[in-house]
Amino acid sequence: MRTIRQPGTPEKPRLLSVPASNGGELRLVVAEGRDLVCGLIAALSARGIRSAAITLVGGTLARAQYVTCIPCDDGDRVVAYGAPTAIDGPVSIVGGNGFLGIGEGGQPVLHCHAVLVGRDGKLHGGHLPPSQCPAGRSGAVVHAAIIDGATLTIRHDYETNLPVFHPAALEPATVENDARDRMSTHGKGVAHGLG
Amino acid sequence: MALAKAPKKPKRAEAPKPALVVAPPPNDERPGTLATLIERGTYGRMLLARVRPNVDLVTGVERICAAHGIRHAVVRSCVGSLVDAALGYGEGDSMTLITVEGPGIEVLTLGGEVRPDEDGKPMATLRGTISDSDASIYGGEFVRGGNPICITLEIALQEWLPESD
Repeated sequence: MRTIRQPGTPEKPRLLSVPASNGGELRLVVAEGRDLVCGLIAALSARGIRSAAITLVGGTLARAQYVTCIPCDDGDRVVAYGAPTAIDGPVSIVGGNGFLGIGEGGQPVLHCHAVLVGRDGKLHGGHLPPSQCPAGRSGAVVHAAIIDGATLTIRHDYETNLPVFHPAALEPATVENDARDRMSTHGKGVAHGLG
Repeated sequence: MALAKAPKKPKRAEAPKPALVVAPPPNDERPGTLATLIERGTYGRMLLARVRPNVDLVTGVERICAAHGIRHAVVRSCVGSLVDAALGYGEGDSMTLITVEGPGIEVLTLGGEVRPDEDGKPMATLRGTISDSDASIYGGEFVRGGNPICITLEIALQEWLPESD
């Protein structure tokens, strides 16, 4: 297995994980004309949901843009996003995965990858940037598992020199703690060492 | 404005009626066929995790489950990237291997489950789709030891609690 040298020092632990619980399941249909990423953020945030595991299960987009990673030799990072690829609609959603989490400024963030088929029948796939994928006539169908007790928060990762989602506990593990609504960014998770 | 008369629809020969589809009997166990395995259970804890660069995808998921004492789990969602990818398709020893060179292979979708191996340790079987820097799409089963994480892997796992366990 080939490994890659990152610009920063390898950080430990190599595996980060936080226990959580399933806070329920939602089926959402992002309405025609609403952006898939922004529409999901708005719909989930309006219900006070800060953390969710997202599965794209069907529907269409009126058009789409996506990006994929390309190798980067500038020494600052090992990969960067390439130029966006635009697809003419209607675009069929074959599948996709994503996470609703929290950005560095406390704002909700959705990280989403998808497999799509364009009007020409060609298979596409990559990272979906916000505001570039309006839902098509049949809407975009999404299932979301609400995650209670933990979320993903964006922090700068000095190893890769990129902002990256990190798991973090959302509520203290003990009920008697009076700071229930204050988010802990330290987490209560299990730290794993590599090897 | 006069409307042009629509041309007469050509008469079509009546299509033969499809044969009646009869549902198989409830105990569809013909000689030589194995019974469908059913495992009743419930979902347990969820785990939110990040796997750092150069850790193998499959063994990383197994180690996360082991650290939390989780023997059975299903993947609920996953987003990330790989240095290179190794995917298999087919069955058992005759599985065909595809290797895709990165770095920066995007994991587009991931599904699968974790079950205990013969020694009771969590063993992950993970399948999904990836895209390379040319936006070509590949799919299959992620080969153990062949899928090092590039930047990060975010994953949500949900524990499965079989009644018999």
